[in-house]
Amino acid sequence: MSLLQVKQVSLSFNSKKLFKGKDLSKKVLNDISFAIEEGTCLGLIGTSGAGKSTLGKVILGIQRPQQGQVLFQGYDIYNADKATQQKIRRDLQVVFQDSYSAVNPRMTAERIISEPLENYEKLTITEQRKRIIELLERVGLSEKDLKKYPHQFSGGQLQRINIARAVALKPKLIVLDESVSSLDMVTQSLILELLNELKDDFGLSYLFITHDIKAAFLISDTLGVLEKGELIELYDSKDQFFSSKHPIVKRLRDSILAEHPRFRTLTTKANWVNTNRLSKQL
Amino acid sequence: MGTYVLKRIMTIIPIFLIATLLTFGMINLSPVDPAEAYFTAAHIQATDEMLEQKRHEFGLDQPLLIQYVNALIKICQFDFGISYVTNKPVWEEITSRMPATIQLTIGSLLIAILVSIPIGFLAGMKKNTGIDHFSRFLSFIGASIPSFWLGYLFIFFFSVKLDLFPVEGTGTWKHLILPSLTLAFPLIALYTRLLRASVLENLQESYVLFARTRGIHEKVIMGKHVLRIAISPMITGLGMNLGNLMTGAIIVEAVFSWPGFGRYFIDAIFNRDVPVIQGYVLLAAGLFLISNLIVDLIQMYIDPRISRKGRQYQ
Ligand SMILES: Nc1ncnc2c1ncn2[C@@H]1O[C@H](COP(=O)(O)OP(=O)(O)OP(=O)(O)O)[C@@H](O)[C@H]1O
Ligand SMILES: [Mg+2]
Repeated sequence: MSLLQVKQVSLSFNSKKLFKGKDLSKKVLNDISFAIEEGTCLGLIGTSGAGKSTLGKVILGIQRPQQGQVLFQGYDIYNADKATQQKIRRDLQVVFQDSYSAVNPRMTAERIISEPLENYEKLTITEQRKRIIELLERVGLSEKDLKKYPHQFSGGQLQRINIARAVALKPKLIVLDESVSSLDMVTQSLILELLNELKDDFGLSYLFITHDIKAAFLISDTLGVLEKGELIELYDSKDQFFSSKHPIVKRLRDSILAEHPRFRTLTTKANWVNTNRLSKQL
Repeated sequence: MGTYVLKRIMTIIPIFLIATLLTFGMINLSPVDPAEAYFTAAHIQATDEMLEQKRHEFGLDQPLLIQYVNALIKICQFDFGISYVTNKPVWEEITSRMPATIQLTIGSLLIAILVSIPIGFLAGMKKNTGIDHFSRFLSFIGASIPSFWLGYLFIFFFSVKLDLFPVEGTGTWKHLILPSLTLAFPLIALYTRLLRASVLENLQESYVLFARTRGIHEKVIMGKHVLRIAISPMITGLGMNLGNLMTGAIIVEAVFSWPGFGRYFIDAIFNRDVPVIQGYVLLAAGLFLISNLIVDLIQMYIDPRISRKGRQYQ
């Protein structure tokens, strides 16, 4: 059984009817189906407005689709009882693009990371602090950062804290919605590297939502392309992206070809991507 | 943070100096001749020589700058002069009436907080429900009824018709209820609105929305993320109103014959009792400054970003 199954999900936002009879509702997701296996990362690529974030929200259980089902570990997340839902929420975490708006500006790093722990695990104060320090160190920060407030961190550091908070409960799946998109190239690749390590350490799965093909490529095992609410392509292996004949995929490929030299420097950091093979395919 | 606090306290000094200058200037600009006022208050038909002598006594024949500096030195020693009417030091008169006014102020603040926090919070959380409509009605009433009329309405209903509370005077807690409520009413209106708006705003914050998806318990979300932050504009409002309350008490004190310094001040206006008026205005300015200072310090404690913002401008 797949960890996450999305089955024929359709969603439209019904904007208010301006005139009688004229339905202005907007179809944002159209009959989407895919699955994520345990321990893998699905990269979801798409241009702005394609419906990526909306799909992420559907999977997180905060945007109920009009049609279709989302099954997490076999449970329908929109029709599960409260206890199951609470368990699902524990195993399904999220990291967003804007690291600042994802945290309460009046909480220290320690309190931000301790929140899920307090919520789900009853640890003693010393145990909890130990866990938090471990987590901070795991994401490349240190004990010194415990008492700092969000405004005292850089965007990249704060994103590390968001990641620490997300992995604190050892979840099964993390939805990463443009999680590295606002960071500079070097920080981006460092965070991607961290995500990759964490994935192996904790046996995590990711849904990596992005408009950045390079980033998706560096982290994903499987790839999907979303365009105007439709999942136009779904690849078991990311290499298939380069052999696809789909006109939209071609256009996406062309867009990274244009910045090819930069692409090459980015990948030097990450030895788990075969740069040579990549450039040959490009 | 320590330097921020210190700097914030230092800003009070120039502002207070400006307040003294304004008070002094306005009193000098007003057509009231203190010497004349003095004799009128004492019911003495003064001759020109007597007036002349009194003006000399008050130092009114000296240049304005010297007069101002002298006044300033006295103010720093809490010497606001002697009341024309009672012939007692103004400072003494004010401090002896202070407890009653403070009692009234604290009473109404408490009522305002106790009523507006639950109503504003619930109204924000349950938008467009019964409680929200009720809060809107309450704010509308509170903002539009003048306090003297509200005071008389309360007296009419609760004292005369229902005989629940005494009409006027002091002594027991029962005496305190109606005047405090009257004074609190506009505040309830204001704070309920403020809190409702900021609760609604905070509910839209991403970290609140996504705390839910992370499975954080609703109680924690509401308490830690929403209420704690939503309450901070209210504290600002509170500080700005604390000074207002003390001075706004004047009318309510008159309606309920409350023996605070508000009524004393009204009497002073009618008697053209210049030292009292001056003392009162300065006291009010001081109260405003201090209550704003306290609020700023509380805000800084609640929101750690503020002290940093403050530093950026220096
Ligand atoms: N709450 C909403 N009400 C109405 N329309 C919405 C709402 N949320 C999103 N949309 C619309 O749905 C479409 C998809 O939005 P979505 O945020 O999922 O795009 P995206 O693929 O994440 O884009 P981006 O890369 O810019 O983040 C957009 O056209 C947007 O206008
Ligand atoms: Mg998006």
